[in-house]
Amino acid sequence: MPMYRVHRLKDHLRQSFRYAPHVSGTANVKPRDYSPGETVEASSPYAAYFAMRGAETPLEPGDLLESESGELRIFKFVGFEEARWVPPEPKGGETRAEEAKPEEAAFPAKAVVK
Amino acid sequence: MDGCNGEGGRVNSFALVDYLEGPLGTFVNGLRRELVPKCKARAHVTILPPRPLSCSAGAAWRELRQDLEGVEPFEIELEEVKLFPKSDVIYISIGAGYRKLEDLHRKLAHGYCQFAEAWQYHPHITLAQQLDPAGVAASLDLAVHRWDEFGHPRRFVVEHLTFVQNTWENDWVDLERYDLHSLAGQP
Repeated sequence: MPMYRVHRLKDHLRQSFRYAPHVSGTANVKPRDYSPGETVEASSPYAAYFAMRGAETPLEPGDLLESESGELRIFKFVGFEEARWVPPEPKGGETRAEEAKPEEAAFPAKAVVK
Repeated sequence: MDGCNGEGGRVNSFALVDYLEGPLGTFVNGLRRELVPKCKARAHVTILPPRPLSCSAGAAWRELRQDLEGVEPFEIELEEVKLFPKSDVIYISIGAGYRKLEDLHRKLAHGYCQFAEAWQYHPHITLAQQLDPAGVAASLDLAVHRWDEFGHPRRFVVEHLTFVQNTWENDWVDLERYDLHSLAGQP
């Protein structure tokens, strides 16, 4: 059974996400806007959504599911859509190696995934 | 056709749709009935979601026809089965042609057809709605499975628009039809 890691949109951003116009296509998301969450075992993103729907912390619009292969799906009012991490913009000069790999820099705890 | 005040069982609620034809239409109609056996609606993509009119249907239709002049047929591609989580509506999403549907909606939703829509316009093909909440997950799985099995082209051309009116029984009655024409080859 596939495993998904939940990335929670930070609370102060939920309001703006809620009222942002829908844009089709792959969503660009920034690691700094998310907090690492729990993992969920499910056959698909929607199965994960249904598994969490009655739980204490259901998925909310803006949250992400990351598959074990690193594919991202963002949960929206229109269902799940593709998403991808965008690297932080370099501060001035060179980009540090860990900044160029946001998924590894921001989510080093892959070992937590069962 | 006039009669937007509930005469003859009709209610003041109008919409503009394009019905799916061919194998794709047959498939969606069949799946809708498999998911919701009582479903009577024909497979369609909505251009103008339901709205009341403050004029006659005929006046609104005349305005729509004027606005549709010069609009050419365009192709849309259906992508994947999804769920509107807030309403538990199962639908097929639209890829190519999405923007053109948005543009057409924007072009037509003014004048007599202006209306503060409850939801942001998000064109889609509805498969099931008003489901028992306990059965939504299973219905979604079934829809995904059926869509995976569908072996015909997943594209269709938006070219025959139908102006429809709702009834007290929540049936939709076809009022008028407009065929989009390609301008290619015209001087």
